[in-house]
Amino acid sequence: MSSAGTRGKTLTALGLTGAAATVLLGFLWAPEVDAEAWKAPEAYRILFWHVPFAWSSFLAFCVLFVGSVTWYTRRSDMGWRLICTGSDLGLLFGLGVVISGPIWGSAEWGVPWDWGDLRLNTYGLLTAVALFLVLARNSQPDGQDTRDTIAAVGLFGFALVPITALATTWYQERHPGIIIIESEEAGLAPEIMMVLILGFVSFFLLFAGFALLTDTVHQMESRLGRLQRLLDEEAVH
Amino acid sequence: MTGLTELAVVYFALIGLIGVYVYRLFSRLADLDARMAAAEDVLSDDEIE
Repeated sequence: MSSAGTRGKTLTALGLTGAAATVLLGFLWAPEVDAEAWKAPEAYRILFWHVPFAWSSFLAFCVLFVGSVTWYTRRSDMGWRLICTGSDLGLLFGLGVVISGPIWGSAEWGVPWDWGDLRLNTYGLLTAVALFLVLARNSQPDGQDTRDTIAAVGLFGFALVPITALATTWYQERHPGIIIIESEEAGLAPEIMMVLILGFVSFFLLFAGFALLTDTVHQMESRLGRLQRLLDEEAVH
Repeated sequence: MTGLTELAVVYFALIGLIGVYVYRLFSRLADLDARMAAAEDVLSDDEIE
């Protein structure tokens, strides 16, 4: 396996260990929140993975954006691989957010989704874009036209990232605000912040590990395709 | 209601999601490794270059 694959495995192992430590500390060390102020006080511990999942998905969409721009400007294999990696990881982390958010919403708000909330709806659309990209890649014949279409949708998806990220600043309806920046306003205890920061670091490592390994898979698939074409040519001649 | 059930459901789901991704990723890597080795065995070095 390539050195990127080995680095990917190491980073994935470190990220998974950190993510497990985040859960343990979040459950056992982080204090309880004010039971009077929250309808479901224990459910707040969902945020220790929910928020890093969301940040990781934004990183994935940045990778998708860089890949889409690289594909359009250079038509390079590297650009296409970044699109593949960005959409795969965007879907993985996006699904995590879309699964965990509504469950917390059911407990805290009494409803899983609010169709009037900008953050929830743009994020849902962003995850749907990632799902479309992954399904389209797997169902369409690989060629320049397909790659052009997928790259165009990838650019559209990235446009939703700043809108989603700033939605709670511009237009806060139901989703809580940016907790790291507005921590005093959010009233988070220092222990909670420390666990959250551990979560961010761990998920960043996990993201980097997954990105390297996913890219290695796409690189190997591309190389295997070339080898299979050579074998076909050999069989014909 | 404190939200403990929701907390458990979320972490089971997220651990499952990550677990499935890791499993698929590593299975795919092993499968591709084996297929590439088989293809390279058939083709000579000159042809691969």
